[in-house]
Amino acid sequence: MILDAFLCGVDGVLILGCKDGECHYVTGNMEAKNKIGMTSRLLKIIGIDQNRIYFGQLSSAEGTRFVELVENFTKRIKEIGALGTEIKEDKEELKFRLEAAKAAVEGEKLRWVIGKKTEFMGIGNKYGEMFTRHEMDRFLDGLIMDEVAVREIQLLLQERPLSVKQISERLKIPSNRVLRYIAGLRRKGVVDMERVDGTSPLYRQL
Amino acid sequence: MEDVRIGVFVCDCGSNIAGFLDVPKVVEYAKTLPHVVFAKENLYSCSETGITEIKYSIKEHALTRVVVASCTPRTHEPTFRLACEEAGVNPFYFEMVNIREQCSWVHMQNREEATNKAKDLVRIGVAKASLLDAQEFIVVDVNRKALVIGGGIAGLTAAIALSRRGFEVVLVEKEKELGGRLNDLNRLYPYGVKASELIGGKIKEATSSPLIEIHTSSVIKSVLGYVGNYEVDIETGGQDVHVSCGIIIVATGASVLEPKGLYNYNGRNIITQVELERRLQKGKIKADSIVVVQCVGARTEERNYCSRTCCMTAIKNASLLKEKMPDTKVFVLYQDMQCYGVEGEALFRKAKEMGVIFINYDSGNPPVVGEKSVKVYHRLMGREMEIGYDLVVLSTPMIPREDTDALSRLLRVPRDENGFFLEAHVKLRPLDFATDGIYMCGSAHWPADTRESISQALGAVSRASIHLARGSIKVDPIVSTLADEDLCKGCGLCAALCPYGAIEIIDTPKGKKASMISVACKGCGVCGATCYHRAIKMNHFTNEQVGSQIAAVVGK
Repeated sequence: MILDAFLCGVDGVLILGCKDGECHYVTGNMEAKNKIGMTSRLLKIIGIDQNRIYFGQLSSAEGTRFVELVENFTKRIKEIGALGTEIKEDKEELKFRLEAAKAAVEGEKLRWVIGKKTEFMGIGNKYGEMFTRHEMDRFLDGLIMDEVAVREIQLLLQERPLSVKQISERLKIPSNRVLRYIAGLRRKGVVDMERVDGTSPLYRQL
Repeated sequence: MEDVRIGVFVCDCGSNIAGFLDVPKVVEYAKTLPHVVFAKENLYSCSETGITEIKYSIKEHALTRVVVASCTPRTHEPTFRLACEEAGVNPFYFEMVNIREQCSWVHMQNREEATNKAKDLVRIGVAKASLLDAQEFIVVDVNRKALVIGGGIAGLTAAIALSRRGFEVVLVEKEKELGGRLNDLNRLYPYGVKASELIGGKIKEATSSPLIEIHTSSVIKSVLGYVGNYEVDIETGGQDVHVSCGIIIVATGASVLEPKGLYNYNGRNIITQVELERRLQKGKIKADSIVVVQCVGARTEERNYCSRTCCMTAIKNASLLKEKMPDTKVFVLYQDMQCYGVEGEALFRKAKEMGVIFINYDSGNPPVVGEKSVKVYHRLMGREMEIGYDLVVLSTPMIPREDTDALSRLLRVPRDENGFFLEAHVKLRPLDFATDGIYMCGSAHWPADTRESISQALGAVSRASIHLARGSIKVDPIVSTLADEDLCKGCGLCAALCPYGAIEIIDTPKGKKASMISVACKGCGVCGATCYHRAIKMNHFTNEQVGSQIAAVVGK
């Protein structure tokens, strides 16, 4: 939904929720906080200012704080400027990256990891290993980066068959990483080899 | 696809909306929106006339969706839904747009911008309305047993009133004895009834009633379930007792502030009103000069509220002392006297006639209690006075009980900024919590005197009896549903995240699938936002509906 809003062309998304422990839906605000935090990291990875998303927490009795949050956020977005100013390429590139990001957040991996984030950091995983905030963030960043890249490759291959080299140049990702993603996608049966052009194989989305 | 015909009604709310934005312009704008076939201005949409107009227009223009742009849905959404239903339109084909609290009232200084914002809000509402689905209410049976937490005057009154109506009641009291605060009190204003007689009568009736099951020295351990079907675990004397009930009444009362470090409080000759009441119960007081200080630890920065009952308590006790010992001087040092009600005013006058001396002091210049005398600056006379005393009585406020925090978490109900329980609406639902099926009465809500506690208890019982007497409840169908069983892979992430335990993973011929317990679902949406197969749909807040609203924010 947040990424949908950016795809609709808004410049910033401000989400307000209750304070920790005061959610009408018990743990709803924590879930929201995790999800929004991840979406904000995702923006950064696709080259968009992550401050375009803000999750503010306040109670319904704090009128002045509400005004303050809204005014500060508006000011901040005005400073950052219109959506896409941080990306040098055209509007199409912005749309492409947002679509890939959206596909990534809607995917199984990120939803499981975010769904279990509170548990991982509070109780530990199945083996009783606890994650520190730093470990969690580093792990998330790596995961998001992979997920976005995979979705971008899928979007590209939907249009026409491409070689690893072509993908690598288009996405500015080292070819060894592209090859690894392609291998993964082939294993899942989402992508297959179309034909060989000269010495390099071309891949297509199934 | 069916023909979507939207009718938009824009409310003036007298001058609350029309006074700050241009309603006719909003109406004209609404007419230009997709699917809108009719738009109209109402003086008060919620009035009899407004409702009749909506119903008439539904018939006249064959409307299939209704949008009302007016106030908060908290107040009148049910009113408008009912109007739709009565005119033959499914109540969930109704969408409400808030252009009062969220527009006219906050943009009073800027008519044009407010008008534009109202147009935006109406556009967003219309976008959703065109995608609404019809829904049927969910009907659940109600367990006709009630749980009352707290065995003071409010809780006992509630339990007795419920039992007299023929309902079974479980009464839980934390202390060893029933009676609560009244056990410590001497006589009650306005008529001087003995507290022990009043509370004794109540305790006798409650303990002898076959319908009331009493657990003393007991605390609530866990609360699960929802209106009509609560499952409560109680620990009573080391044993666990399980109670199934349909409604819960919270009557846990309040504590009284102990004025540690204030006005040289020592519990011997500088005491609190409660300690004075205990001495009056025993009848042993000897003093030539008594000074009563009001607002001790109340209306300060830390505790800025007025506890309301202490002024009348001071007047009552000053009069009792004067009656017993006419030669004793009694001074009451006050900031403002809070003697609301006919009897309160009369008692205040009577106390003055009896010779109680009332001295007004300023909060910025409070009295100083010395070893033998009290120094006070008399605000009305404009000079300092020194009063010798044998006894100083400090009137301290009621404060929330220490365990209200724990109880509020168990019941998942809110508290106000001072820590008292918070009602659903200060005027419209003063005895209800926002959560259905939980009610409050007495000082758990706000400092209340005996009379108020009793009337609140009867009120809460009356509210609770609606559910208990009907025996079934209609619940809003705004819940999560498994919209596409084939998409669900039974992964269980939704069930793991549901804060209400409202999702089960069950075995079906098609493999493991999620299954929703609709009545336990509160519609929070965590499961829908988590399902990566898009198998779950949030009724009334579907991806398509909310998506269309987001698109409408930008698309003019």
